[in-house]
Amino acid sequence: MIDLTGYQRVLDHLPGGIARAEVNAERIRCTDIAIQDGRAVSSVSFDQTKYYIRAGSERLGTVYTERPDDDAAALFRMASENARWTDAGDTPMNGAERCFSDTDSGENEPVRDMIALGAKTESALNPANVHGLHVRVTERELRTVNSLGLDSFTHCHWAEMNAAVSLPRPGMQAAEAEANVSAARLSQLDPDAFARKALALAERTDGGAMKPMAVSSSAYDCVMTGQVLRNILMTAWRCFSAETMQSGSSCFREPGEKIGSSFVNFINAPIHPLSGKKMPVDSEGTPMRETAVVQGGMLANPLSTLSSARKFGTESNGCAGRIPVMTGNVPIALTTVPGLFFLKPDAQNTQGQLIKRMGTGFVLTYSLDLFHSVNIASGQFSVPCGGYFVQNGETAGSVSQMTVAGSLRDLFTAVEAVGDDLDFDDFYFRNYCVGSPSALLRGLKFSG
Amino acid sequence: MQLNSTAASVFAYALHNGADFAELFLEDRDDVSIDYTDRVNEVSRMRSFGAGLYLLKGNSGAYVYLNDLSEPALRRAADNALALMGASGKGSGMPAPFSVLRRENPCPVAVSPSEIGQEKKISMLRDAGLYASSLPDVSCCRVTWFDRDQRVTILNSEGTYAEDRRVTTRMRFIPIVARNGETASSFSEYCAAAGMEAFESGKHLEQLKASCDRLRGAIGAPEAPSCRVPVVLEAGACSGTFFHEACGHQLETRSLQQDGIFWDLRGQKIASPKVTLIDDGTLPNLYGSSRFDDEGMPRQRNTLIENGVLKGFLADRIGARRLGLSRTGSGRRQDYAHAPGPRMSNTFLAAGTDDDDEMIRDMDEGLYVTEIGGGTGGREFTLLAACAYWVKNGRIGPRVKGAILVGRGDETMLKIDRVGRRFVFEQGGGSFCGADSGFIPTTTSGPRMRIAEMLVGGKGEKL
Repeated sequence: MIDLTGYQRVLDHLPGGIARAEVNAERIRCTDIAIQDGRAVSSVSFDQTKYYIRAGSERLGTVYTERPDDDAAALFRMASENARWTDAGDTPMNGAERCFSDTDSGENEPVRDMIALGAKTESALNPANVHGLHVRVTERELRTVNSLGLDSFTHCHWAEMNAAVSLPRPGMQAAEAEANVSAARLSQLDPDAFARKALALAERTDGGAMKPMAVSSSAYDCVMTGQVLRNILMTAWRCFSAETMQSGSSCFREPGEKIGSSFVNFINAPIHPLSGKKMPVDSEGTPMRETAVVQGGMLANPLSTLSSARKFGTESNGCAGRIPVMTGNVPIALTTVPGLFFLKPDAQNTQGQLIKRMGTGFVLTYSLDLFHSVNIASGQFSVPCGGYFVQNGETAGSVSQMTVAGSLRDLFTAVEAVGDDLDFDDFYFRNYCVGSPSALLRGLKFSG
Repeated sequence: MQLNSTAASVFAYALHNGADFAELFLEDRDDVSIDYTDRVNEVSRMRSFGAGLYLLKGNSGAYVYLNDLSEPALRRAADNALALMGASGKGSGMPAPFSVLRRENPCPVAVSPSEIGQEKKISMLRDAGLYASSLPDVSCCRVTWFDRDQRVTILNSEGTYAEDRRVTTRMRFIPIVARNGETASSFSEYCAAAGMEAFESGKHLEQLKASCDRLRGAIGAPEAPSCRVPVVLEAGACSGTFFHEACGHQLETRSLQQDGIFWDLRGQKIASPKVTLIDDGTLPNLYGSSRFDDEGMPRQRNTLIENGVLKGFLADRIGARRLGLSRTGSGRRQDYAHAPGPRMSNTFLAAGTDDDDEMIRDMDEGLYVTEIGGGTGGREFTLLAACAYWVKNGRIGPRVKGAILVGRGDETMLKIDRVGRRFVFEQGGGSFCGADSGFIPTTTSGPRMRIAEMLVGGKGEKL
């Protein structure tokens, strides 16, 4: 467990002028190995603890440090000094009633096992071109201690593999597919199963070496694979944050709003059997609850923190966190961060059945530009994408350099069926992930 | 710690145990951020302090970073890195004695933000917030201040000892513009590789106003049609960002190693003869400049494309090793928590000889883009046209929204048929580029240019 003894001592006897204080510490130990030709070609390893200190009276100020030997009392005073400038009003904090502990320490995964797993996977991927096969093991501890008696702790461990794979296609540059898998332990990652998954994805992504075809710009039906929907959700989940809605920067406004067809169900959960990641407790020390965010197309329970839940008159569902902004700054402000956010699959539909049911239209196997293609305030999106075209149930040719555009409301309303092939993307080192199966959508606007 | 002796000892240990190169990147960084929306939401101070130990053996590398900079901890890090590389047996190399590199700072600072109290910064945010609220249809504006003071020391087993101090200031605007029930919002930033003096001229407020005007213009504007038409990219960040995404990332050694499309094309024509593309980390007062790269090499000017012919790549140390290239002062990283990678700095299209106005007058129909809202690079690249106008019969017509430009770099660069004379540096001072080695400050600049035909993705009808 992260040692916060020095902080706890000060929390028991807060310096004068400080009414409340809290320290939220996150320790991550991680080893990431890139495998090529059966050996490690580049690796990154670290063991880092980050300390976020909040202090003040009604209003709280924040200080961040990475040094375990920094003077706790001085940091609390500095945070309290920062609070002096803010006019943000009363900031809620959890108390002793929220104490929580969940430990899953496991054992260290030996580097040689990671390399061996990578080498086996690489071999199983033969004859595909493998551009970057990574094996990564992460341990994450999160502990929050405050002057109101809270001591909340979690320790999670997971292993991941990912690879960009393309198939050898004589005379053409086949599109790459990116596959990933995670599990609680390295030993639970199956190289052959991963290779099968990656090769199948690569086959789908380049359209089975079909000849490229041109299509005219118009409205088409489509099957979006999970990969494409996950890329959209990587930005679009923010629309379902209570905080974003309250600030007016979400295209959705409040619970009860109809945002999609009855087949659309979004869930946020701390764990899922298909992912090795776990987020049992958030950065305010609130246990994350499995939440039906959208139920039957109706916005039901927005993702919330203590502050945003209070504004909606509800309880936090444990989504307080710190999220890296795209600038390299330390993400210090507490904001809304999901756990495992996903579109609920439907066990009755395979992807093949969705394609058959579509009849004529696109199967979108990849999309580009995760960051700029969806505007959460207006809800408008324009996503560069590609895949292949199906005519009367028969594949007709591959398509690339297209865009699909519309509003998120149009997109979710166009969902006619959802597949059973839920998968998650962990997306670098972010402390959340999004998941989606394939879905059949009717009448979206394409250009190409 | 006694940096030199500790580093020398750790390097000797690493080289003795199988590495053939060792580097230590030390960082001590202070950040301040203040978040304001009609009131001060949060004032935060951040202290980052750590080091990255980077060992190479042949074409393999291992990077271990840590916060404990004691010699025993660094030796443990070296053991960890050696194990990750599978280095075993005895190496014979000895580290070279350190030699201090000196270079002029291309970005001198007049008034350091660390010398200024929070009151002054809050007052600037309040002024910006009030200014935003005086603009038509602005319902709310979040303004955030950032300043950074990054001190780095880079030492390596070849004897490099380089120190750099990089001070930057930045203001971010997220206005919400609402009219007739329609809402538009996006963020823009005013960035400077400078101290508080960067905010004296009021240019940051011009940036804020331009951002609000752009959002207001989008409300009620027709959607861009999907089509293949000529596209004019305005001088400044627009034309520069095109090259950043269309080929810049593909010219970095990391991409070249991963089946890059330009690797075999050195000395060959990859773009229109009108294109000369340069990446230069030495330019004074630009966001992508510094004394040294993050591998301790003095920054330099790199010509990537000259008159359409591919001339060079951007190489970090390991990329240069793997591909047999020279390093180009392009090894960059966000911070000590990232291994260095080959990255761009200030990338610009050199001025051409074409008439800036004629390239629009000459168009029957097409798109004129005045602001790019971001993009992605790769074999296929994308650019979001955050502000664009429809051109008909040589005249700039109505604003259109929702346009996204899609293409392949190797195809699209050959279609550039005009490069203007008036060169403009990136408006707003710079931005961040994200890749494996993190988010780093960059600029993209150039003159106005035209692409003879490009796919415009949109959902509107023909205009």
